[in-house]
Amino acid sequence: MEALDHYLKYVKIFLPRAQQDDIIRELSEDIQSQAEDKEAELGRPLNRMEQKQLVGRLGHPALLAGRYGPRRQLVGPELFPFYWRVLTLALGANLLAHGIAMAVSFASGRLVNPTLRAVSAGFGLFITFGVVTIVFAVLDYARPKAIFGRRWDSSRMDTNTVVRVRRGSHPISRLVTGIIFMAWWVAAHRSPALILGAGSEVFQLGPVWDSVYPWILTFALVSIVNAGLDLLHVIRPQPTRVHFAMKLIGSCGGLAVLIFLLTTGDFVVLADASAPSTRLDFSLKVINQSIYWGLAIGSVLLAGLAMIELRAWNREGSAQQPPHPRARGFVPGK
Amino acid sequence: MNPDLLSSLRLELRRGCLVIAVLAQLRAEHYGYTLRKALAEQGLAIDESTLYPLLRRLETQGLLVSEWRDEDKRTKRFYRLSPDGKAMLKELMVEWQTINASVSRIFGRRSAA
Repeated sequence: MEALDHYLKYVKIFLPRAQQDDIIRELSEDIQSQAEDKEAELGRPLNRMEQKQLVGRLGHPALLAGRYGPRRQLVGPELFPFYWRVLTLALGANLLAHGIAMAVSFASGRLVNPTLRAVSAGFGLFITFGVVTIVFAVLDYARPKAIFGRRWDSSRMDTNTVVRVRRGSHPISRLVTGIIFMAWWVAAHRSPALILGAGSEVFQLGPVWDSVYPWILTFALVSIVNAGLDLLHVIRPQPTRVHFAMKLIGSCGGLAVLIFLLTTGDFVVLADASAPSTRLDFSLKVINQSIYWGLAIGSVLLAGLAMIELRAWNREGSAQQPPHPRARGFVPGK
Repeated sequence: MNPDLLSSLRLELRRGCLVIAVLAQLRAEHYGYTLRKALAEQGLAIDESTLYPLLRRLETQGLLVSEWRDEDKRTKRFYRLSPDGKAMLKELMVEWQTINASVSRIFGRRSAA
């Protein structure tokens, strides 16, 4: 059958090499059996059109061959909710950054070509999408069941973890956002345009960022380690004081960096200090004020977080103490 | 009614049933074409593009064994249940009957109410 041979040649192209001949042989045998049955029913050989119809029913060769491949998806249903959350957060942050960059360039009176700006934003979103997807694909490849475990022991779960998961700060989301932030921070240190966008033609980051760069990097790393510990905590719910201490170090360290930054003020400076202009000076003042208040709000939030971690540390400490004999109903002498 | 949704739910419902049907039919040896015909005669038509990948998957999972043999002047691949496949079919049949009985009870309760 010419139509069958032609069709199978196409199917073969899309099949895994090791199984090509075997699959083609089996498919060919099936179609030939169908053709023989049809011929017996009609009492004559099938004509060209009938042969084509018989083969055409099988659908596109690529789709048929595709069914023989392993079923693989980049991010499976177990991790998809976390993937979706991180992706929307990352894309939202990216859009926000581009919005700020646009505002900065507008305020400075140096509007970059809108097409160039749109292409740059699109490229940034594409890169973000790619990075988040690759990270989750790697996690998914490691088998979510191996990460989460097969069984769920609710008796060993403390209420704090449940609350944290419900509030949406799942360790996997924090782990991935932490990794992405760290990568972005390292890249932004080398190319400040990642922070200032088009505004980097006019402004540059102040020298204070160079002094806090290693500290922010360290605390980002601590935050990633904490998210990793939280993940372990979800898998094997046994909170330890080391765990709480790490969280406290992360919050207090971050707070110290923020307070130090608040004492400086020149977060952004003019790229070309020799060419001052009233409009640029005004923009610079507005930007530095905005950053100052942003950092101040961040400090208050982080201080609150540090208080919560401190309370958790104390609670864990008292929980690890052996209970008082009276509390256990122990009566001396009995 | 949304026809696409119906088609997708029907496909989902059929997927698990096909595995049990194929395993049950392969208690006796078949090659692909006769297996398809036997299933169609029992009211469970299945096309080539679904059956053959399924047979390969079940064989990879150790539930089927196959061999190429000559029959009617042509070489055909014959499939049958492996010992693991027999044990698995037994378990799946129990599960199937449990689900079937539960769904029937739920339907019965609904129609009685």
